[in-house]
Amino acid sequence: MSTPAATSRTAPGARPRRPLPPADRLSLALGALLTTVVLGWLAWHLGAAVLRDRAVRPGVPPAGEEHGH
Amino acid sequence: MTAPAAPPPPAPAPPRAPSAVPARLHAASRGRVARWHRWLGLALTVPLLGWIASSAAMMLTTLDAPNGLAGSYTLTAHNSVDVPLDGARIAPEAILRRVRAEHGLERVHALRLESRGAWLWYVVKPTPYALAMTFDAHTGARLDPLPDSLLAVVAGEALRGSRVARVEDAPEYNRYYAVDRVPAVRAHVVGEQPATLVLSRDEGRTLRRLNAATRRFEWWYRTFHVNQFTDDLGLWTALLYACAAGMVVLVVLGYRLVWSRRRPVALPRPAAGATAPPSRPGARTLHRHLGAAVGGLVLVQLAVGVYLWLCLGPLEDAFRGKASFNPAWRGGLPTDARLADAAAVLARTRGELDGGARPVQAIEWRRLGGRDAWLVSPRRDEPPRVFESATARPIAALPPAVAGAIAREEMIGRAPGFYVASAPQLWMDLNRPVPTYRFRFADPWTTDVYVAQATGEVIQRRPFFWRLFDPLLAVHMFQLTGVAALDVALLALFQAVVLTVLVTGWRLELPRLRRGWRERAAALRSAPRPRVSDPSPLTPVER
Repeated sequence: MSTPAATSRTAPGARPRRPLPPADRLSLALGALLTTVVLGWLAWHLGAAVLRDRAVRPGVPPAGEEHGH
Repeated sequence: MTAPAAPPPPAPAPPRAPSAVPARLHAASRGRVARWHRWLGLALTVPLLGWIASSAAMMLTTLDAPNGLAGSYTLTAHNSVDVPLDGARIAPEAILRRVRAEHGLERVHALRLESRGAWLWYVVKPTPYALAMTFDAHTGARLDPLPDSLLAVVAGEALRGSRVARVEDAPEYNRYYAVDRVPAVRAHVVGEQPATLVLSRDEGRTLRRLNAATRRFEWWYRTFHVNQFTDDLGLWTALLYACAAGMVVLVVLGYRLVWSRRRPVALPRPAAGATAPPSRPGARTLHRHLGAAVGGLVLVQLAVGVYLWLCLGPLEDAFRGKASFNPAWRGGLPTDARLADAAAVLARTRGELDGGARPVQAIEWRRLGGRDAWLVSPRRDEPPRVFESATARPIAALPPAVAGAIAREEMIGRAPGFYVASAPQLWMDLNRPVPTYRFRFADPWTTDVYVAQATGEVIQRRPFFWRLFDPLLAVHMFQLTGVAALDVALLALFQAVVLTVLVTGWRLELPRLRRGWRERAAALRSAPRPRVSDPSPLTPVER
């Protein structure tokens, strides 16, 4: 038997479960959002740092000296 | 006519009797998770409080610190005693011959003659990253490791308007030395610039300067942020990482508890007060919601913090560039080289120096890219002037190719590299930026090396994973927006929320703990006690 409040996303034969209360869903969603924002910020800046670092090429030495040694 | 009887509606299926087994499992599993969550939370209160308090203290300490942790100091320009360097009774060549004969050194990185207080001494640096040897310039006596009395002289001459109050032994990690711990002291100076100077015992080199703010920062950092109570890195790192792992489990279990509120439909609602003391519904709700909101961020901070400490603790040698030292270094000055003595150097460079009436403070003999050079310091608070010894011609800056060759000799495996750019870098010895060339080498760490343009000194080594440190540190310090006030507010908000979760957790747990203590005390009170007058079954001997 199912009730209107029961979630339909249950495996066949498994006991249906009530969904989380809205307030719990809200706090979990907020946590997921904050985590995603910070992880996204980190991934963006870390990626940029890696790309900048890999893009380093030999520069032109001052006073017309040859570069490399 | 009667209508044919409609088939009876199917009887509604009898409500499925709630299966006792899943319900029990659910309750038992949730209870187990809750118990672990509670006990971990209680056990990790101290480290968590330490992390919160120390991060707040470190943030407040560095908020308005000029020049950050490096601090701002005015170094003394001249020795307090005018000691002419040409008064040295022992010639520089004699010192070189001596280290060749006594220590088998064929080359040295540098030989320096300098005045410290009333003393005049030679410093021999066998390799760029070895401990130095110090000799009295009048008697030739070996002075290192320098005793506290001589280091007190050095400390008293370091900062303008300051005098040494006390000196205490404190070996120190330093990125410029190959040894794990440099024999060193902490000299506390008072006066115009109260500070703590970390001085090496080999030559009195300033390894670090600390003022009140940086001392406070260091105390909070070592004691409460990374829990390094002694020099035993392995032990305290294991403890730190165990706390971090415990925190990860704590947060995951917390999320598991929130998620398990999706009760099986057939499971009857728990009676009010069965799981939550009715007097604490607010605390429980706050704990759950705030915990769910910041738990993910706590996990991110733990992961980043673990990585940062890996860099600053167990992998510090590689992080600071010590892993790229060339143990087979063969640059520098041959110990059978002919050297002009101090009087000759001073006579030939006098015209180029603007030292005023005070004597020159130091002369260093070096070989820079195949040419012998003199590094003459008319003042202590400025980089030395460099002269080619053959011609006494001043060298404003080494050609990048020469500086690169010097740096390459100091790189492990003499890895090839290329010139990248010119940039100023902070030189700790002078506490000021100096012009440098930046080179990139193809060593295992893809190290960037900054070489002083004037002296060829390797100022900084930045391996690949050092160069990626900034974004991780910024996340750890919540420096996300680029607006200092907003970043501080974000960090403070995060700390306040985590603190609230901690406090509400305790508020939920305290009644339970008190109940347990009361029950235990009652059980002890009701237990029968042996009467004192009962004869003991033991004989006096057995007793």
